[in-house]
Formats: sequence, structure tokens, C-alpha cells
Amino acid sequence: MAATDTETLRGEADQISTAADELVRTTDQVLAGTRLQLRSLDDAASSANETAASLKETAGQVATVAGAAEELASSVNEMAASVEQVTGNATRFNTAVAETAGTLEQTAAAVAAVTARAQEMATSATELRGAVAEMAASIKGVSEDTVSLAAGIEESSTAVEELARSVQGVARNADDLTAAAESTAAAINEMAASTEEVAATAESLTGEVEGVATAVEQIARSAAGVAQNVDRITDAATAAASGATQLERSIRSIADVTRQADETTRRVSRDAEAGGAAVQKSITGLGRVRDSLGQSAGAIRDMGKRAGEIGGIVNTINLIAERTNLLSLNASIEAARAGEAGRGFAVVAEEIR
Amino acid sequence: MSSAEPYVLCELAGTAYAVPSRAVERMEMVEQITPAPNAPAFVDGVVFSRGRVVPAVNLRLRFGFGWVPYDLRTRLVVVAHAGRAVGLIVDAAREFVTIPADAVQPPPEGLAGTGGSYLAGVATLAGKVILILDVAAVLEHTATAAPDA
Repeated sequence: MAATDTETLRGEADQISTAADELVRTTDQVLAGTRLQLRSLDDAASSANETAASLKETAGQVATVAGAAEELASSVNEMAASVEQVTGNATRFNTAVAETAGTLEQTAAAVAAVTARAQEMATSATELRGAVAEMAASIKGVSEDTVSLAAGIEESSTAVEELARSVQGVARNADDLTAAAESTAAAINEMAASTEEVAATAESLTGEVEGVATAVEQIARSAAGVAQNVDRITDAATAAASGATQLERSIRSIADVTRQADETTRRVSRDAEAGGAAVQKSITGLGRVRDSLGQSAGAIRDMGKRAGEIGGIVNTINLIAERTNLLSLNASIEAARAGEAGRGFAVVAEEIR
Repeated sequence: MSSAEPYVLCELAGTAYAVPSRAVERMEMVEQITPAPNAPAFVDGVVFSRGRVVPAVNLRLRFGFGWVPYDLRTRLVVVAHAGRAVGLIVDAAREFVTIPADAVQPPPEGLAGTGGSYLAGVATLAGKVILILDVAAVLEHTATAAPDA
């Protein structure tokens, strides 16, 4: 009966190892998919970095604008001073006004450039959001796959250790994923900080220059919109991170189940060995019983020989007694023949008898 | 008759027989007996005793009892009379007694045949009946029966 159980166990173990192989393959696929996601996250991070860079550029340009506005204010003051100083030169005043207009035009061009940059930034942020949404969708797909995977798994054997190692690789990749998401969040935070800087600069700019105020307000509004999008991106990244954590947890529970199955299999094989050892022990014991029975038979045979020897000794003793009696009788006969001379002899012979 | 005579008490088929010790040369165990051809039925054979060949008469057969195999108690009583010696095989012979003369009576008249002629008398000793053998009669008959004495 133990043989069939062992065979059944072996068959099941084979099945399990096949399933484990499939599992390994599926996990490799998961691994590949996760790597793809990692890459797209990297892309998202790099585009976020680009966004941060362009925002910085924007901030620099806004600063330049502020600087230009300051210059404008000072030149306007100079202009006023010169206007006060110079009276009656309308051409020079017109030229100065034209200069001012030109400067204003430049300012407007700079603001337009800022606006364009901000629009570019908005486009990049949209792209980023799209990439992150794609990422979230892929991760959702992965978690669904993982659920179906968990539903399909049964008990396994030694191939599970390999699986655990692959799983650990996946977990590590999930950690990398989390780290990448965190770095993305950090980059996005940086971006938000830069945007705040921009907003502050824009506000100060609004306070100083009248004509630029509207454009700067627009910039501020765009920055707020960017911050909103950034918030949404942070949420998506957090969701991605939590999805990865769930994935890790599911994979860990799979490893636990397979470890338990391995223990059970080992216990069964140990019990089978113990059973075989017990049978061997009883066979050895029976052999010893047979040997001791043989020894007993030999001892009984020896006893029989001794009894025979004892009988012989008794016969010898009887013979000696008979001979002694005979001798004493002969002695008495001779003593009687000797008469008086043999009387002492007769007494001794009588004593012997 | 003398006052008391020493006898060797023999046992034969449950009966006590007394042989005068004066007639007894010696007593032996039956160790080596050589069957003699053409001997009478009661002569078991010849034995070697003190350098001579002596016929061994089985007294049981002589007196009409059945033959029994020898054992450790069987004795050969070598008796001598007038130069002739004969060995008498008896069942046992272990005692040496002195029988007073007044205890001896003549053999009863009723006993006829060979059994009676061999008895010298009957004695009682300590309540026991003892038949006293007449050695000469035993030897005489043996001598006539056996061609070689």
C-alpha cells in the first residue's frame, strides 16, 4: 500500500513540477511586463524631469521678464527724468516712447514665449498623465493576471524554491518600481516647488508692472493648472505603488502555500521510511528468535549426554559396591578357614559388609 | 554335628540356600564364561578360576527354575570336594552367617526327586527358612552328568 501511495505522490509531484514550470514561465512574463512598466515609468520620470527643466527655464525666463520689467521701470523713470530734464524735444520723447513701445513689444514677445513654454509644459504634463494612465492600466492588467494566477495554483514540490527565487526577483523589481515612483514623485515635487517659485515671481511681477500683469496672471493660472496635473500624477504614482505592493503580497502568499506543500511531501516520505525501517526491525528480531531456538536445542542435546554420563557413573558405583561385598565375603570365608588365627580378619570383613 | 557352622547364604529364585563355608573355595562374579560343547543343559559353560578351568553349573536350571540373564548381583560360588571343583551360579550371595546346630533340621521326607537329595537340612534363622545344600551330592551328580569334571 505504501508503494502505491508513493507512486501517487510521485505522479502528483510530477504534475506539481509541471504546474510550477508553467508558473515560472508566467512569472517570467510578469517579470518582463514589469520591466516594460519600469521602462515606461523611467520615460515618465524623464519627461517629468524635462517638464521640471522647462519649468525651470520658464522660471528663469519669468525672472528674465521680471528683470526686463525692472529695467523697463528704471528706464521709464529715466525717461520721466529725461522728460522732466528735456523739454520741447518731442522727437526725442517720441523716440523714447517708441523705444519704450519696442521694449514693451519685446516684453510681450518674451511673455508670449513664456506662454508658449507654459503651453509646451502643459502638453508634456498631459503626455506624462497619459503615460502614467497607461502605466496604471498595465499594472491593473498585471494584478488581474496575478489574481487568475493565484486561483490556478495547487500544491508543488522542490521546483517551488526556483519559483521563490524568481518571485524574490519580481519583488525586488517591484521595490525598484516603488523607488522609481518615489523618485518620480520627488521630481514632481521639485517641479511643484519650481512652479511655486514661478507663481511667486509672477505675483511680484504683477505688483511691479501693469501691462505684464495679465500675462503673468495667465502664467500663474497655468502654473496652478500644472500643479493640479502634478497632484493627479502623484495620485497615479501612489496608486501604482500600492498596486505593486499588492502584487508583492500576492506573490508572497503563493510562496507560503508552496512551502507548506513541500513540508507535507517531506513528512509523507519520512513516514514511509519509518514504516520500512520497522518492518526491517521485526525481520531481524525473528531471525534472532530462530537463532536462540537453535541454541536451546543444542543445550537440550548436551543435557541428554550428561544424563547418560550420570547413568554410567551410577553403574560404576554399583559395581564397586558389589565388588566390595564380594571381597569381604571371600575374606570371611578365608578367616573362617583360618579359625582362631583369622578371627580379627573375620571381624574386619564383617565390618566391610 | 558341631555347635555352630559358618555358611554362605545364597539366594536362588527367592529362596535362601546355605553353603558351608568350609566347602567354598572362593566367590566370584560371572565375568567371562566360555560355553562348552556337548555339555548338559544346566552347565552354562566353563570359567577360569585361580588358574584352572572350572565348569559353571547354573543352579536355577539344575533345580528346575527358569534361566535368567546375569546381572551385577549374580555370583559364581566355587565349591570343592574331594579334589573336584565346581562353580555354582546363583542369583545373589551377600551374607556370611553362623547357624547353630540346634537350628538345623533334617530335610522333610516329602521332598522327592533330585531337589530333595541335594539338601543336607533345613534351618530357620530369624524367622527365615534356609535350605542347607549338600555340596557332595551336588558335585556327585554333576560329575556323573558331565563327562569332564
